[in-house]
Amino acid sequence: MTVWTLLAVALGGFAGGALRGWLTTVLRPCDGFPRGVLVANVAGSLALGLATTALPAGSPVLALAGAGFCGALTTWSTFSLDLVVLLEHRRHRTAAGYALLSLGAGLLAAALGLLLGTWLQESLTP
Amino acid sequence: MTTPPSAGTHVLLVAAGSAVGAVLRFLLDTAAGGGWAALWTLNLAGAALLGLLTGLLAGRRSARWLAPLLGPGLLGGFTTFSAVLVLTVGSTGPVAAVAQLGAMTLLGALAAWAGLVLARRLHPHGDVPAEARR
Repeated sequence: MTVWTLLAVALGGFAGGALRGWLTTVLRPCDGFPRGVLVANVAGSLALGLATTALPAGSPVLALAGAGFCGALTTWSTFSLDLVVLLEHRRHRTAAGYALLSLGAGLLAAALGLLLGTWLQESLTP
Repeated sequence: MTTPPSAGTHVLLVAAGSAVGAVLRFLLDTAAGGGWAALWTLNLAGAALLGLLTGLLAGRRSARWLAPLLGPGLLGGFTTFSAVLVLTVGSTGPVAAVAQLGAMTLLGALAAWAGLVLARRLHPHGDVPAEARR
């Protein structure tokens, strides 16, 4: 690990965090449903699937795009706390829907990203 | 209660915190050799700390800046959703991986709740501010 790799992660993390911060600002929770975090988590899962298969393993560009950007665009802590807040407000069905939609759409997005990345990697390799 | 910072300031605070959180996650993940063990550790620790932080900052003036910087910023960037989902999909045992995903969701919520409950005992006069939850 070099200092350049850490800088790449920090730069990617800044950009990913900025995008998530912006998404939660424009997509305010709708009736308590955290739309912004859902979009960030699903989009980030697709992008990470794509990045891990299309970019060379151990490269600084993967550190920037993967661990940095996609890692910071998506979040587990806010996902967890939002579930708790919904449950404390007795919004059990909204909490269950939010969890299931995040995980279901996240799995589909990650699978799609992995497929796209593999296809892209194969078509670019002579 | 104080007014939350402008949208642009909020985005910058989250971005700055996320940059530091992402580097800490990368260092921990690399030291642990990657995989599920590292993701369990940092996601549960991050969820518990976010609950604690949100409860402790509730109703404080400093929450205006500190909540976005440390909450969705530092801890949001420290924890990750995408790596867990990609690891689940890429796993050779899909049933066990999906079970771990479900378990991490339940235990993550439990960790965040435990942090929040602890904070309310330490600082009983606050309420969860909206900006800390974004």
